[in-house]
Amino acid sequence: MASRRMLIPLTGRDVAPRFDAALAVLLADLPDLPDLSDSSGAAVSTETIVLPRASADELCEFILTHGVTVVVANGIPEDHYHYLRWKRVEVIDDIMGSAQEAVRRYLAGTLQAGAILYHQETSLSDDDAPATGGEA
Amino acid sequence: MTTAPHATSLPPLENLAQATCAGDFLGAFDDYPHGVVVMDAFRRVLYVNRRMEELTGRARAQCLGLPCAQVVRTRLCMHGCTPPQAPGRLINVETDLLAAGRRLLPVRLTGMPLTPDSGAGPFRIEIVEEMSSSGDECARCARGFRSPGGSARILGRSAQIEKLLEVLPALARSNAPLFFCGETGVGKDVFAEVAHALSPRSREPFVRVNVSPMPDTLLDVELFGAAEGGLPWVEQDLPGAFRKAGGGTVYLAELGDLPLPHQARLLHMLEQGTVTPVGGKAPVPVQCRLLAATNADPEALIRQGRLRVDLATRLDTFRIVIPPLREREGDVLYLAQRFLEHSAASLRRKIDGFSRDAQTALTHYVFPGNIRELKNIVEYAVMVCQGGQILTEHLPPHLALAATAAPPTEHGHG
Repeated sequence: MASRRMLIPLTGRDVAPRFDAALAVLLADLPDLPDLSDSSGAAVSTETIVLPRASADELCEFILTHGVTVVVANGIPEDHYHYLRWKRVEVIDDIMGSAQEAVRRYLAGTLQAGAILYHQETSLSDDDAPATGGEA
Repeated sequence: MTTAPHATSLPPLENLAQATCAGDFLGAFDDYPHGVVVMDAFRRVLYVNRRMEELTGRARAQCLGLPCAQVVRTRLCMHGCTPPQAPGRLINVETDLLAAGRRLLPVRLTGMPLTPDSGAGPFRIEIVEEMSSSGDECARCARGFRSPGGSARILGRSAQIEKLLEVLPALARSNAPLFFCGETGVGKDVFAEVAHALSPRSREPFVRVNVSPMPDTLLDVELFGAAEGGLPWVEQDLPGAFRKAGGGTVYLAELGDLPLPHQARLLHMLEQGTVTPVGGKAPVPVQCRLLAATNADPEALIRQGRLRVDLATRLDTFRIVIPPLREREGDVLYLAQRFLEHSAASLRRKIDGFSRDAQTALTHYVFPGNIRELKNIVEYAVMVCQGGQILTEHLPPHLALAATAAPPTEHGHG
């Protein structure tokens, strides 16, 4: 039985750049004891919800009324971050990349604030190589 | 759930090599005071200057190749970004940007195409200029607004503060005086600074005058200035607060301490728009706006003869009464948590929160010193606490004693 619920503001399939401007969210019910050998995250049930409008206040209300315990976002305004923390909601922010990859990493216990989850197909020169695919 | 085994893949950066040929040219932007970002036709970041690194909180190398919207994080990035198929479109819009440290900044975004003769590209360059708040941006940014160059912020989630935040941007845009009333420590100075920052005058100076007891002549000079030779020790023209402010704002921190003769001159300034420097022969026009505050009841000040009725009437155009902390339901624990995180971070301590008993003690206390006192209490507790949670014994003794004697003022958070 799921006891943790994650919310990720979405832009397409990626974590939305901004919590307060997202028009869709991914809700994921996370298992109590994830099977770490299952890297596909198949044990997680997810739902994508389209929001009526972009509003950080309304999204905070949504989070509280839907029993969300962890929020994964890229940018989130300071006030809303602290409000959610005050309400005992875990917030992991500055995450860039695929929402599903964020869920997978969270379950694996390797998702940290500031992580860049995009994968570059072309390696850049050493001087210009971005820190993609790792923690910032 | 159909979880992808790998993270989102991005196409190769075909044009990066050509773009970096312009490294020397782009390097000049490092000293540019505004944020600069260059991107390819797929809106992937090719370059950010030093200011943009500061705004995003990410090093240039981290940003390369990432979707611009994820890095720059303006509202426009989410709802109206120039599409890749139309890279030549010029934009010049006001929006807001979510900067490092979760700060919401009003900005002007100017974007234009870059089409080098070499045939590389097309690229786009976008310039992010921080700006003062204006129009609808004010309302959007009132919550959590940080005044330019300062740390003034209005904190609170209570209905009373929400209501004030709704009206403050509109009042800030007016040219009429604002009169802030509230007990000591409720944040009158912060409200005044934010009102200035939200006003069209925000690019002009904000001059704060502490009307503390001082000789009348000195106070005269402080407020209205002095002409050269007007006083024996005045060797050059002194502008005074109202002229120093130019088209900005003068804030009188404690109006009740202003002597009555000076109140009369203040009223004259409000009505005529001029001041006469000490020793000056002619009035000098001033354009600044006046904000004033008092921690006493204005009516009581009038009854005591400490505040002129006509001045009070003039200032009362917009009176903003800031409620004491004990009347702001929910704010004690909210603010305590904010101060805790700030103090713990500055002292490099890991303290998660307050125990249930400590929360009860906080919510039962009346906080005569309001937010300032709460902040001091939390700082004390963080210094005393050696564990991971603030307990009752970490709070100052007077708080626990008062808490047992006083009725509860606030319910715990949900």
